[in-house]
Amino acid sequence: MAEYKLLLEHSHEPEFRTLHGYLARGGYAALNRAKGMERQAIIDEVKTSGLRGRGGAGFPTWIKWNGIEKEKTRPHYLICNADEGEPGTFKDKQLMETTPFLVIEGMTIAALATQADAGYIYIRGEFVDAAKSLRAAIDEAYAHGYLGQNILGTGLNFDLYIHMGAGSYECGEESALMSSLMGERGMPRLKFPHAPLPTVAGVWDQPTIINNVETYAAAVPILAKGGEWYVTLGANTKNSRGTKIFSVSAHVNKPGNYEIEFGTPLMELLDLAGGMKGGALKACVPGGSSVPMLNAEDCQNAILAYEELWETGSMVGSGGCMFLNEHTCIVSYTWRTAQFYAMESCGKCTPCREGTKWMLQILERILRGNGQPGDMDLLMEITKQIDGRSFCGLGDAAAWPVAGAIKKFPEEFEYFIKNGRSMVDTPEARAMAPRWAQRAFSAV
Amino acid sequence: MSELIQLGAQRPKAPAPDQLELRFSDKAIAELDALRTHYPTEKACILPGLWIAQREYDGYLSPAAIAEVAHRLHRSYAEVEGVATFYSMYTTAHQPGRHMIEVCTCLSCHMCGAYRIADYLEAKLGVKLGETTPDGVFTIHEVECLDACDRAPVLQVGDQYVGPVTEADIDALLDRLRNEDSSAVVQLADSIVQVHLRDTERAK
Amino acid sequence: MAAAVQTETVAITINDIELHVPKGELIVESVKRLGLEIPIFCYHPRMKPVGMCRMCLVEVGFKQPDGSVRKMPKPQAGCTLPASEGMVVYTDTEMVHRDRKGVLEFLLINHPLDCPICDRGGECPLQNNTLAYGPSTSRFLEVKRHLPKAYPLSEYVTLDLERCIQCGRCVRFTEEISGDSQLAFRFRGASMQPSTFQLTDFESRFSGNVIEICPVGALTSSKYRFRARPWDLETRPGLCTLTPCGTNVFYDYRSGRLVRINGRTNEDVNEEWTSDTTKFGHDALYNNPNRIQVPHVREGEAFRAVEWSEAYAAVLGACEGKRTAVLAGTMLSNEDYYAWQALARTALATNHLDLRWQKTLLPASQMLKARTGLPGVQYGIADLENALAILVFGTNLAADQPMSYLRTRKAWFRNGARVVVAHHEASEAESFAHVVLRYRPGTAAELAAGLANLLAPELADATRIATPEWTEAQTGVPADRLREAAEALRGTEFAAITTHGLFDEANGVTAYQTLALLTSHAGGKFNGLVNHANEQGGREMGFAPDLGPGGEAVTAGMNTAEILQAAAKGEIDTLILVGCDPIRDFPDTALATQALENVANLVLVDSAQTEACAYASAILPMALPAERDGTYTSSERRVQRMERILKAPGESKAPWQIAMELGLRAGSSAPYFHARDVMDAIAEQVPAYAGARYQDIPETGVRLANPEGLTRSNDAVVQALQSLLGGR
Repeated sequence: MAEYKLLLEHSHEPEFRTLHGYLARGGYAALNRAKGMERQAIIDEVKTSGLRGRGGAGFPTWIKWNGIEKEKTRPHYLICNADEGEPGTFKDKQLMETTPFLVIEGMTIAALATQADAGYIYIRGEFVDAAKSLRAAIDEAYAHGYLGQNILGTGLNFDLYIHMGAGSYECGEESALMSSLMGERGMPRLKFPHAPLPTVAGVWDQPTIINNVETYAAAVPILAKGGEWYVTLGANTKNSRGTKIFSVSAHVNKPGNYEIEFGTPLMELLDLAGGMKGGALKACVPGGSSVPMLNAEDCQNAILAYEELWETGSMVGSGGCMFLNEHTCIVSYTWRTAQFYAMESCGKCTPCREGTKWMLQILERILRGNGQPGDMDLLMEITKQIDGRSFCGLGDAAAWPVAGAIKKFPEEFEYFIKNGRSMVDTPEARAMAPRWAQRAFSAV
Repeated sequence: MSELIQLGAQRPKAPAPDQLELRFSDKAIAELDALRTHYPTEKACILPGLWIAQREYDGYLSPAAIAEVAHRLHRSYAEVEGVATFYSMYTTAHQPGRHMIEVCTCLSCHMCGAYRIADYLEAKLGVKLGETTPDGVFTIHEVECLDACDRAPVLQVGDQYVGPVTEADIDALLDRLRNEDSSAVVQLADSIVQVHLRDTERAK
Repeated sequence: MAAAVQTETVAITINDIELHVPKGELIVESVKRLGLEIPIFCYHPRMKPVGMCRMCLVEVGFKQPDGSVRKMPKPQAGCTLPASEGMVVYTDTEMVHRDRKGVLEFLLINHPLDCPICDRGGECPLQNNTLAYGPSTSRFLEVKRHLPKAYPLSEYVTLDLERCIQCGRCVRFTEEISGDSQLAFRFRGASMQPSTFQLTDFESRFSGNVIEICPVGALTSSKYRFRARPWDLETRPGLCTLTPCGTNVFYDYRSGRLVRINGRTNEDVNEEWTSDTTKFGHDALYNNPNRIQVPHVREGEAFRAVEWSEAYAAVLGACEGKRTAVLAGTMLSNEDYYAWQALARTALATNHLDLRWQKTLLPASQMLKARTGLPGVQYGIADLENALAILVFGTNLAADQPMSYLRTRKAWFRNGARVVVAHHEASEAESFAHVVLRYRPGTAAELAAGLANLLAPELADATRIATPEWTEAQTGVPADRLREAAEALRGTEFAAITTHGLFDEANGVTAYQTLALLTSHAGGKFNGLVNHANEQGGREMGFAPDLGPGGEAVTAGMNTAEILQAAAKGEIDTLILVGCDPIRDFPDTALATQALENVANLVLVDSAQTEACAYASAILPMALPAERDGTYTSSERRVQRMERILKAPGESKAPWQIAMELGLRAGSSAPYFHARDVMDAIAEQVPAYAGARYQDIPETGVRLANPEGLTRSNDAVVQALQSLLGGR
């Protein structure tokens, strides 16, 4: 198998970012088809396609769309989660920058199916280029009747707004995103069964659909070519249909976004990205920083699909795939992961607020050469005290990579704690380490 | 000892509405008015309102800037300060330099040598991460993942990503920025404000 | 509380015991039905549950059709989980205990554990939960978080950020309950901390409550700081006698000395909240260094301590056959007022007595009931909660009636009640008002007429001129906004709240009475509340120049202002001041001073020295409310009892006792041996109090019913209104 460019087919063509160029390449065929369909038929088409959320959780998209009240009694909102923040992931950025109309058309189809009045694209603050591209596309769409009042004669009135974040990973969590959209601190909100589903009472307590950028974009080919066609992609997997964009980075020769059919072996993705750079494969984090890492052996058999990758011990997540070479000090990598989550914990709940900081303190101490004999057990216990106990998924996401790294590479942690030095004693490893940790590595 | 001193200390009072020195330009006020039409509540304008303030107050959300946003949006000062200090892109600690260089040291960048880039920047500018050069031109900052891992190690300057960077790239970048009078931190805030607004809403 | 509503119940199982609970009840509450407890920090039953601290994690499952239980993979927060059919909850499993231990370990790693010098020590939920559920040792080797300690957030509240466990109770209190949003979380993650804006002064009328709801010693009382350990304190239930709300409190004392006031739950009055006046105001009163211990009589320039008998003889001697007047403060008990008015009207043979200290003092003939037949108070504080619409008129409600304010806000916050705020200046209530009617000072009556024009067609003759446009021209309130306000109130059985403070505005009496009439015509409930502690009780006891006990008309004597004017002219020989100081309490200080200078005999019955002492000829020490038994009537007409808590200093006596003993000596009074005897006498004279005999008053008090069969009369008010409007 090779790349299967469904969403990224035209992403290298600058004209695709204009309405004219988009239409010339078959743009808005999906909306034109959808507008002749019953609302339920649109949702059923998505159901047939087996589309699952591309943001990380893999929740069936049609269930969300179907959960919106059919007899409209109040405003309905549509949110595009473009707060891409997972380390290792940069697919939404590219989709917004290079295929903005796919996102807009996908959202318009969802608006048609769920009778949404307004849509918000919540873009992380740093992604100014992506936002500019979308802004130009939205303005053009308004000017030509693809947004606003009575879109394409469908009777649908749909306004689309851009809302910029301001630097918070937590806002990628859908309920925290809604808090942030409403002008609050980006803290997660109560979820089902503690509170109604967003489709019943989401943003501003109104029925709300929230999907990832890639999910909305995927709705376009699904409506254009049909759900029946879409399920033929990834047909050899247990329950993963269509294509998925993986963002490949770290020690590879050609980092970038690669769209593949579900069911592609992980090692083929590595080949697509030009193979390893600077040394042999040691580990891979296939779905963004929060998924457990795989060691080289696991990688050989790993298949990129939701259930298959789960069975191998990791997750598809958001598709941020980092390949690490033999010079990677796993302790150092784990410390940096822990720092990320400690910095990004919103502080709402005790386990995440205190636990992420504590893990970071312990890992930093180990990296400084002051590890204590009980530290590995303590770290494992802390991950257990966070995992499943935190208010939202960020706590879990912080616990898994630490626990995963210790499980896969216990000898590296043991060595570091016992000797106060890294087991990976190469100049390359030293070059990666922060200055204060360099004494754990030999100089050349 | 210190406790006794603190207990006796005079507490500052929050400014009353008529004591505020409002600095929003007509353009900013028009932008805020346009934003109000985007959301069903005024409260939702807090984030974009803070972006406007960050631009209007030279890249620094000072207490006065926060108070102005709160005042204009009819929220309590404490609430808006709580929002402003939650998000890392709002600069609430101190006035940043004209250009803020943000160094990503997160996972892929870490793997691709970002700490050497950070070291180089520190050595070259003579300040540490989180500090501003004495001439007020540069502030350097460590950031969490910028999600441009294909360009690792990557920097953000204003609304632009720069990467993958080498030490030579940094030399060139610093030279270029030094000669640029416009402020990258203000420009970033302005770009973010502008993408919220439709062409029909943007100032001519 | 409200009448029983039919609620759907669901069957749930807790620790293998099946029970039925209302659908949607939070599990943290359901377990209490079995006498179990789930430990909590962030949960507070009066605020929205947030699930932040994770202390309340329980295992949850659902009964499957085949009878088996499918457990949820993760533990769930009991404080946010609503009960639903077939839910199965486990609060006592190994996993639950491990999770509690884990959360406590996390909370303690950065906690300073400075319990020995923490005011919360001994009554600290963090200590208690740690003792019951926590780890016994710490595995934390790192450096603890260091943050400002003992930062004075306000005159009353001290903030210790190191002790904070980020539960958000204080932040939520200012958002949800007091509504001033003075506190918010700043920063995020492990740096998150509650704070005012830039650590500026915590300006709130209710700041003291955050001290009580803080589950650790992060927010402590600046006043109580280091004054006692909780286990050394004795505590007894009492009442606030500084605000007119009848707030229920606990008096905590040590070695007979008042140390602090805490809120006490009374669902009908204050729920559990206190205003800062209540919480912090009593200290200066009870611990006044200038308390009077024994009776004194003047000898030349100095005072001589005397026995009570000698003091009584001096007082009676000064009164006999003299022109005498009696003024009282607003903090006396019902018994005090009753006994003193009885003494004045018999032994002292005077109707010159009053307890009102406003500028405008209405004669009985001008009062609401006399002119319109309407009672002044028709709604209780708790009733406000269920009002669909509330009109706050001519009062800064948060300052004047703090507990009515909290309920009004709750009605809006919880039930979406529409609140219309009409006042000539900004006030807290505007922050949640549906419509704000800011009228020009002195135009309250015109505004009331404008509202009547829209809401009360029966008053059309009088208010025809007061169209919204006319009202706008007169008051500055935009016509459209007035219409909007009327729409918010129409057809809602709204509560109109104002206070006697309105009398002091220009045409305030007309405004007040017009408001009462229009409310009555528009189907609302009127509440014209007194603004001082037991002013309501004092009036009902007949401590008034022209009304006897129970509102019975008597030959009119002079009111406060008239008494002071007469005294200033030397037309009063003997003035008795019971718990008041005209120099402090009367708006016209110059007149008050002149009055005291020109009375021959000034008798002071007071608890502590005041400026008036300089002019006194005799001083009798008075016990303060918490130092004796008594009953008090709040502005909503709730009669409550407070039994003696503290010992009165020296030879101080209750004012009723002083009046009674003077009366006995003058041969006019029956002997009362206890406040309950006075209450018995009151019950016979004041019909409304027949059901409020001392020993019958329940713990939560009795709210007096409105008299039945009222007839509404428009004439007097309409006339006043017509002359006012016609004059424009």
